[in-house]
Amino acid sequence: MAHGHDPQPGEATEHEPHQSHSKMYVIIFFFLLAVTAIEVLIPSTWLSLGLPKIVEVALLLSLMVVKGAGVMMFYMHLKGDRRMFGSLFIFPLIIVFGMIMGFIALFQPELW
Amino acid sequence: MAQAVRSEIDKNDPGRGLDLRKLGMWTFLGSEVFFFGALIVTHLAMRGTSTPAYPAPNPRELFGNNVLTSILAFVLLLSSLTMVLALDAVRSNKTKLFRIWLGATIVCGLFFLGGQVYEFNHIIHEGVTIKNSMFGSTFFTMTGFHGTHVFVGVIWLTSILISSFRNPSRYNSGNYIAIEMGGLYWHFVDLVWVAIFTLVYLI
Repeated sequence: MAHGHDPQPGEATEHEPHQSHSKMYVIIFFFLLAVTAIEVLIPSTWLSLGLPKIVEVALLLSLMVVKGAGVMMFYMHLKGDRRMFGSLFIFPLIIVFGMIMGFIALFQPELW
Repeated sequence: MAQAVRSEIDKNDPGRGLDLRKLGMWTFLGSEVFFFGALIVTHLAMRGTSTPAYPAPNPRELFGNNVLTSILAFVLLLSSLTMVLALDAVRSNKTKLFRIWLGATIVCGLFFLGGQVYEFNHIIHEGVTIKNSMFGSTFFTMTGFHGTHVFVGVIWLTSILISSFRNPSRYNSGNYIAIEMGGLYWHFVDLVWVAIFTLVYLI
């Protein structure tokens, strides 16, 4: 401890072996890609299904949340990182998501 | 004994064991969530506003069934993968692989920017500009700021790549915090596009 403090995550000592997670990252990528493909297909096929618009909007928003959670948890490493970092980021996200829902309800009545 | 150790940490460590650089980065990204949130909700509120001279456009017709934006969404998602693989490579001391993945991320970012410029030209050609309608004003402001963030990310990652060539031993399994910070920013830019893609282009 030459500097008088514990090593931070970005300055781990060279003796700590790093276990590569590259396979998991690729699997997550293909999962997110599949979700994106479903998202793109939904608006173009929805009319032929004859289901209410609100179901389409709810489905698209759910898929957006799934994609966002995938990126945050695995690519931004929120899963397994300090809880404080997640709180700083997810609290604003929840507020903004609530605002978006409110604005859709107020200004986009044709969507529901 | 444990309490004595804890009080010593509290006394000497203002970050209480947290990496202050990461704490600062996450705080910044949290503020960016509010920034982009404001731009998105403004667009949602204003995009239906029309005047007799400039009626609000139909987004699905304007964006050409989202072919280009779907490709851009794929490219940005791919860039998130290459970015996280670059971090994984540097943590494994695979410098060459790290440079390849980081270079691929930069190329994806440049491709995205090129696509956005093409899309902007197309929309302006269709008669929607930043001045003539609330749809155009809010759309160009929102996507323009996102594009600016991508541009800043490209500059940031390019500077990391150049510094890794100038000083080959700079980044390794013992020093990767700069790549982690750049990666967090880059994934956030991807995250914003995930939201814009769904809320603006698909819904």
